[in-house]
Amino acid sequence: MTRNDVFKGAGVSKKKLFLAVLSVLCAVLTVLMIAAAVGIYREGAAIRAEQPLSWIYSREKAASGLAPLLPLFVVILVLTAAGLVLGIRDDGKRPAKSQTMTDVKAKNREPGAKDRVLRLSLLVLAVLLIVAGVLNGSALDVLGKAIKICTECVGLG
Amino acid sequence: MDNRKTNRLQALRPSTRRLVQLYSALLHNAHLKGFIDGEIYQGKAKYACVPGLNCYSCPGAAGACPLGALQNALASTGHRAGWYMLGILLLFGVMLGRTICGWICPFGLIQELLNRIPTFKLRKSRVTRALSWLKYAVLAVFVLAIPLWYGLQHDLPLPAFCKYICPAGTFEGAVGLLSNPNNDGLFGMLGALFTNKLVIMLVIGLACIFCYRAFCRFLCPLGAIYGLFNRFCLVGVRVDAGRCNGCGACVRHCGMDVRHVGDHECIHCAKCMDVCAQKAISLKAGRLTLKAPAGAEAPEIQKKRKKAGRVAWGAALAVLCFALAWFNFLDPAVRAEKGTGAALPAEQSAEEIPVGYEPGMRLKDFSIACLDGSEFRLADTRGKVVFINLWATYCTPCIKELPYFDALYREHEGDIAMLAVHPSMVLDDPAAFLADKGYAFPFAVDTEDDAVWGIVKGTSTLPQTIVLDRNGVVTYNQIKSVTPEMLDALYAQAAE
Repeated sequence: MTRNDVFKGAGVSKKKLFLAVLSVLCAVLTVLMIAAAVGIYREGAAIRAEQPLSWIYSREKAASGLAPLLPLFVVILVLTAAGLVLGIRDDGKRPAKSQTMTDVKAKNREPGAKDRVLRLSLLVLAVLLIVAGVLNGSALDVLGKAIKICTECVGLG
Repeated sequence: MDNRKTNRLQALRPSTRRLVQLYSALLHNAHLKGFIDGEIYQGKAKYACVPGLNCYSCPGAAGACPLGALQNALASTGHRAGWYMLGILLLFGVMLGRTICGWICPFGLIQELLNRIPTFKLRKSRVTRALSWLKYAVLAVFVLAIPLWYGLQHDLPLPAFCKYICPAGTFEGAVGLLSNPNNDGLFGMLGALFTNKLVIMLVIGLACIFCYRAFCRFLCPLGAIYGLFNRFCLVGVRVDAGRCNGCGACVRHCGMDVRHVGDHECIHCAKCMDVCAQKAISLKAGRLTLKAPAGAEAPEIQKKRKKAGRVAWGAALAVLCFALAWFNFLDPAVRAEKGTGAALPAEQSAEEIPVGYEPGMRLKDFSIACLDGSEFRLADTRGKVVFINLWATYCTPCIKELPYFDALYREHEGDIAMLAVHPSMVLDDPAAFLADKGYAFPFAVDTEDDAVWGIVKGTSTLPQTIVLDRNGVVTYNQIKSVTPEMLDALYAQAAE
């Protein structure tokens, strides 16, 4: 009796078992990463309440929070590589035909003359707006905010 | 057995689309030097927006993110209309529509790679179709309403999507910057906001593993904008109505929540070409066919197309080589970066305290003209605790913390010297901005060559606070928002 037969006998194919294991591992890794981040934050916030200048996060804290998850991450990487090489994937069922044949055919069409006119008009409008933007200084806004970034605005804090 | 192995290997070979996605991701992030030194690109190329979702705080980013720029433009509506961003988005939309999502967007590539992890997959259904409307709500609330409201009512720039949600910003910007050992100081500013965004990024990442392009389908406001142009954009997947028999295979096999080819959910990835038995689907730019179904064209046309494809790839690689050379070596802004990140030349002062910007070093003396007509001379502040704040009119946390500095200044007037310095790039007149605020301490706009910025090691990120003790020695130099409690603690520390 091969291993494949054993899985079949239990009503589970090897492929499904592989997919299930990797699904669970990915979910577990994510949950553990979230728990590590929240743990560091809560611990750091409690200290900051007493000492306003203390840091909540640091490279050392991040490393110590993530290091225990490294083996799990490596296992997921190895299984992913194996799954890709072996061509394992969830083929699942495609959704049922949700539309009638005439529906799809009626809607699947190439852009017509009206669409082309609209496209050209919007293209001209776009160029005019860009020129107006360069003249009124809104182009400089884009540059300014992209090279001197506000840390809170990008979610750093 | 051999056939099966060959098929598996063929399945691992990257498709043309994947190669274009990788190429685009590299072009979007051509400032590779930034990943090494941890500095973002500060050159003029950031006048231009890139078409895909790619955070401009990513160390590699060579252009501005259209979504971040749009929110900032809306927040500035009270000062000037954001015609430029409207024009840029219109241009991208009309030319490419959601072809950008399928072929160009770096974050789309990341989502697809995550979805390649062999796990169980959530198939599209009525639920996912209903969820696909969520991105329009995100667009309306976080990208349009909140930035506009805060901009017009409070004169505060608040790019709410970037600040509270954007997983691309967290991954490319925050994690990208933090992962560089040169940016250890940035850890000091992380708190609740970062934790929330990190959790959101991890949840979205997990969702992308189980659900094809989960962020793109349900949350991405940029995709929602481009989707409005999908019907008539120049480049996109087209169906030959004469050949289509309406079997619906294209819709059933599509990973997106499309109702028909080319609708607002279609990302023009052209995967449906492979399942169309009628060979009715092709990828076109106007009337020019970019990709035709296998076997649908005469051999000589196929030959011509292959030749044209090779020429196009050659040109694209030449562009990439030029971009890599420009953004890493040739751009004057990149060459100037060398100076800003390095320590100041080691000068020894009379007291044998080295001159520099790190805590424990004596800050180099400077003088600068203030907006009120006075002159701030650092050498004249000996015996006082000195606070130098780097701020900008377009930086929300900078504006929020100015009253805290003012309160501290008034509380310790006579024992404290304070200066707030705005970068030389002025978007809104700082004097006009400050006119009705009534702050007691002096403000200055940095010199054209950003001399003060260079002396205190100002970077591309704001706000930054520098504190000196009574001898002019740096006791604190951090990029971080401050609270009144922090300022009190900093004052006490420096005054000791």
